[in-house]
Amino acid sequence: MDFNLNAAVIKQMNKVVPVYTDSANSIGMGTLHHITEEISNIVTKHLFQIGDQMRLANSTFEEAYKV
Amino acid sequence: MKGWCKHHLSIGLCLGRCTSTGKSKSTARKEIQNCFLSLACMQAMAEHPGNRGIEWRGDWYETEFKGLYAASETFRQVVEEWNGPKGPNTLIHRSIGVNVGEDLFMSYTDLLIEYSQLDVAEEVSILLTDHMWNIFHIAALHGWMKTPSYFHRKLHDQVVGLLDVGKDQEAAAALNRVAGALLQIESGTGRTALHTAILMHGVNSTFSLGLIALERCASSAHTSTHPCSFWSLSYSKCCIMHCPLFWVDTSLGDWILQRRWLKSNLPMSICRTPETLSDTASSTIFMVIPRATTPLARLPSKH
Repeated sequence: MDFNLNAAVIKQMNKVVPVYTDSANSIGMGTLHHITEEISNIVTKHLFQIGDQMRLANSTFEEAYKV
Repeated sequence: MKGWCKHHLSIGLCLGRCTSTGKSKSTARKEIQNCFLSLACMQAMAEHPGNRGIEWRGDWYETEFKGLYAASETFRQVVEEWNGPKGPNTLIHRSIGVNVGEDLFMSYTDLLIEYSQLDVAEEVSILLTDHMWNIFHIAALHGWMKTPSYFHRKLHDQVVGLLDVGKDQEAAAALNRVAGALLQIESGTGRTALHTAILMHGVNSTFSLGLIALERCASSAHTSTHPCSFWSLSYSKCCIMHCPLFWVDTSLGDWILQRRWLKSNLPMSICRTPETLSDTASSTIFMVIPRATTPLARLPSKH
């Protein structure tokens, strides 16, 4: 979820080699599959919460996120 | 990372439960040592049915907000809009969540290409073992409409980079892999990514048109025998039942001529079985995408 943390990790790697990928036969759990699995759909839920908080506390988006 | 946090949080919760009942820490640790991790998770989750026993205690702003703000254009737009005079919106369109996810996916892929030598052509052709989905299938199911165009650009960059250094064969191999990925079919319904895209988003959707453009880029560069993009849609019962799609360009002439032309020109790698084009296959579903160049001229005239 923490993109900045993951980006820092990726920048330190020279090569990504997924564990469960058989590249020769094009089957397995590819790097892109891993990414899609990690991207969850909690964003919309959090947006609802933030919108409520912004209205309740008359706060900015960032302030609502910090609560 | 997620699994690690989950397990440690579970242990922490289990430890808290044991110590709160008056047991010493050493006793609690002994209980944990004698307890499988899965059991500790179940116990912790049973005590917190509302949030499944696992609650993120970290800093959402420092992790999620800053990460999404850096990675997602859609998210930045939402922040800007909600901080504006209109304020927060009570209606959050589903596409916002979807687009934030897609933005994240593309940002991660950009990083992997730049820093980790990700081979785009190779990655897009990898199929999941369970459903035989490649990344285009998954993107179609997610509704990530910009993804085909994104991969089109990345493939173009990759191929141009290879050609610049004289690696013509590798460039051709990369194009072949992408062309192959677009023909890969999932195990359940026998659909290619384009089938799924058309069924879910329509023939003229951004996703479908992006995939078609990508297919033309991948196939036309290394083959002159099949310059026209033809896709035979699966004629499995499931496909027909859910999508009676029959869209043929009328400028191609009558149906008999079309069928003969298709039969002699359709790549067998696309037309998986000859029966697909049999004269009696009224259930066969075709989508014909004409190009403005020569293929149409090859069609025999009715007169």
